[in-house]
Amino acid sequence: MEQQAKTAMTPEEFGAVVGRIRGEVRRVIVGQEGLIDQVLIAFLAGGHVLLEGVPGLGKTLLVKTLAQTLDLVFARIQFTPDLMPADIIGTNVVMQDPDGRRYFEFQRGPVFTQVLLADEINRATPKTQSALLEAMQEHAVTAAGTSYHLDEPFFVLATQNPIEMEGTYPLPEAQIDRFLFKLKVEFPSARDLVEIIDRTTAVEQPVAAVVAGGDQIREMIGLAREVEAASHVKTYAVRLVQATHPTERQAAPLAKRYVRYGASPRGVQALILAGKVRALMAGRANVSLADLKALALPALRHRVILNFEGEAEGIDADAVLQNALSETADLEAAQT
Amino acid sequence: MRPPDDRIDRLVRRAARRLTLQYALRSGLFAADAVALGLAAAALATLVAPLTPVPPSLAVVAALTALTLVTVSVSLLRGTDVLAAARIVDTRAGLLDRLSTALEVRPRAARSLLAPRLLADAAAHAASVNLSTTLPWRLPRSWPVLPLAVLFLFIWSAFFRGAVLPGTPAQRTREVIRQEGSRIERFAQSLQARTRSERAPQTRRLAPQLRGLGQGLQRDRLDRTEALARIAELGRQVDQARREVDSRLRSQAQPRTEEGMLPPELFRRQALQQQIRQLRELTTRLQQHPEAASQDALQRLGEVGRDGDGDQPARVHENLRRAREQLERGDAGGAGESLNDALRELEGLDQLLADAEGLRGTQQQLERSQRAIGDGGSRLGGEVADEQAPPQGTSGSPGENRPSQETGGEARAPEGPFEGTTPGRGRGGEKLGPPTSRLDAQRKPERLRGAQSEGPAGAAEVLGAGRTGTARAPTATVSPSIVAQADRAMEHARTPARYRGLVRRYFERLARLR
Repeated sequence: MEQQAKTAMTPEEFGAVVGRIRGEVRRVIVGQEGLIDQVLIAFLAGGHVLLEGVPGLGKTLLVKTLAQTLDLVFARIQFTPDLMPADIIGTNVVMQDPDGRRYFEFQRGPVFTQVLLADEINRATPKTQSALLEAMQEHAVTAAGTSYHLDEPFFVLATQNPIEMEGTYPLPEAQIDRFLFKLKVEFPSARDLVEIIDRTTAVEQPVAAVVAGGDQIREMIGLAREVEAASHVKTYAVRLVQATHPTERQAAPLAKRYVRYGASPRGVQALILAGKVRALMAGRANVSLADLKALALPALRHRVILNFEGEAEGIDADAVLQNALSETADLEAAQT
Repeated sequence: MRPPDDRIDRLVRRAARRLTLQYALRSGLFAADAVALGLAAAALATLVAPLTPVPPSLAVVAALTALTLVTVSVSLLRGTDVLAAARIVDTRAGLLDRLSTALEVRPRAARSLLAPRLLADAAAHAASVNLSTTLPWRLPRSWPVLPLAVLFLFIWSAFFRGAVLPGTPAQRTREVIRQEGSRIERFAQSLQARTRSERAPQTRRLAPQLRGLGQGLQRDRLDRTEALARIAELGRQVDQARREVDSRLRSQAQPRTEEGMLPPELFRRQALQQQIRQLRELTTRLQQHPEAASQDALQRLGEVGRDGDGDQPARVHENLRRAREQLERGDAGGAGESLNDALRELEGLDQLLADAEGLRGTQQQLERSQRAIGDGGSRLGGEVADEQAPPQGTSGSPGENRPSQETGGEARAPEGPFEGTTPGRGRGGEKLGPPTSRLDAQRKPERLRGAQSEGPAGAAEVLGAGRTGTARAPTATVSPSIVAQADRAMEHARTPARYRGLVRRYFERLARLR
């Protein structure tokens, strides 16, 4: 049954839908083409995205626009320090029926949606942040011993300010590992800034149209998993992840020195899965090494935990990954 | 329309073959580079080590042989996996791993939703791949090594061949070669001087070559192998000449009795010359006074016959016997002719013996030089000089060899009365002290000039007084080398005929005791 659903969409249709979504988002968002594509990749891979950047760069607007283009239920949670888990998941409240009998009824929280914008997620306490753990991994929520499944597709887009800023709580490792991508929102270029001025200060505001529905998105997610990956491509992904582990034989030099824990197995999964979507978006039915190299930073940067020396010297996880990429590329060349 | 699988297969197989050949060629070039570099390094090493540099042409041949052998071997023995070839084509042609993934997916294509599309996509891209541009034939970056190494060998051979650094084993070997060249030249000069006074045609013919060899060893910058080759070449000629002389000696001078089993060179020439002198005197007397000399001539003829008994060739013996019979009959003229025949026979034999002696000396000299050069700088030239025996007349009698006086290296125990005075280890000079002047006398060869007159000629043996008493050294302590040296000395010594047997038996007994 599910196979039939998967076969309903062809790679050409996949590309066409992606093109339409991309076009609608770009009507609203100026520049940030790479960011938009990566958010789409994560979305079509069934993963969640953590957007990091200083305020005012359009993170929230990007998520809202994406939700508008897709005919999906959208919810937004503004994370604050006093936000409680029940404010996200929902809670049992006492109700009274017409006969006067009281009973508990689960009031669903904002997590019961399809596209969830967790805005400024690192402003909430770790306890509250952890409320999303089950939802993100299992696509389910448990309250008072009862599990509630979330509607598919379920997609969390979290934004956070850089953790060095005041009044923020770093996300716990278990939480951050559940994000498929961590994307850095860069400051727009001068030309993009002029375009932003033109678009946002005029009378008419651009509005994104709906171009895809939930069923279509589910088919696209299913089709992406059909993309083939050759053995040497998988091996490359594994070697790349191993290169971030300081205790591994093939660890990159920077990883040996500055990394406490390397990328988790979820990192390999994320790399291959995202690579499949990227290949399909490019009209290919196979994952290439180029896909993995292009996606290594967003898929792995939040999974590399620096040690004290790395933190003290201000080493960026991206630098470690770039080093691992260069080292792993040498291994690849040597093998062929 | 060709099926997609077929197009992929054909491309990948062609790529695999091409990659194998390229790898084989690279390996072959690497091997050729290694050979050429090794030979260039060996040429450089001749500056310090006594090695023979390989000629550039041979180096080129060796490098090309290595190139060919390794290329062929690798191309035959090593195949390139088609999957690896597909990955390389993917990378070089920018196919984004389409070919390699298609090859892996093909066996399970029926179970994969996107496999047919992947195969079609890969085949379409395979059709656009041109292997000539994707996998071009390129020389490896190390290709200049081979021509540069060969060029270096040519330059080295042309301008620096034979150059050595001072104080190195190569320089010591070069010095030994020069010293040996000088010795060979001196030996050749003495040989030439000797052949002017003696009739030894083979020796005379070889003496200039020997001298040229000695001059060449001194003049040319030769390495050890070349020097040994030159010596060996001349040695072969000497050996061939000596075989001819020996053959003629065996055929002409076959001893009449079984006593010929004795060392043939020990006393023969001495006795031969004595007999020649006696026969000349007798012939002269018969020519001058044929009527008065018959009785005396018969007596002298008998002495000649007794002296040469056992050593004389049969034809000489026959001529002497005929002369004796003719004298007894009173036919002095016939006896003179018979004696002349015998004299010519003996003179011919003397020539052969002179040739044999000269060739043997030459051979010994060449062997000594070969040994010295073969040892290189491990033994110093002074020691080699001590070992060398002069060509004739100066051969040391027992007791002449002294301990070597060199300070470096290991002193070899001398032969003769000093033997045993040098411990097995240590330096001879420290133990023995300064050499005595007892045997420092120099030989001064003199040659008489002028033509022999027709007047009466006489010959007499003048013997010095021998040392009386018995030998003080026990015979058991006398080494065979002394016996051999005594043999050589006795060849050149003037020993009365009646003492020869005694001396010979004495040394034979010594040899048996050892």
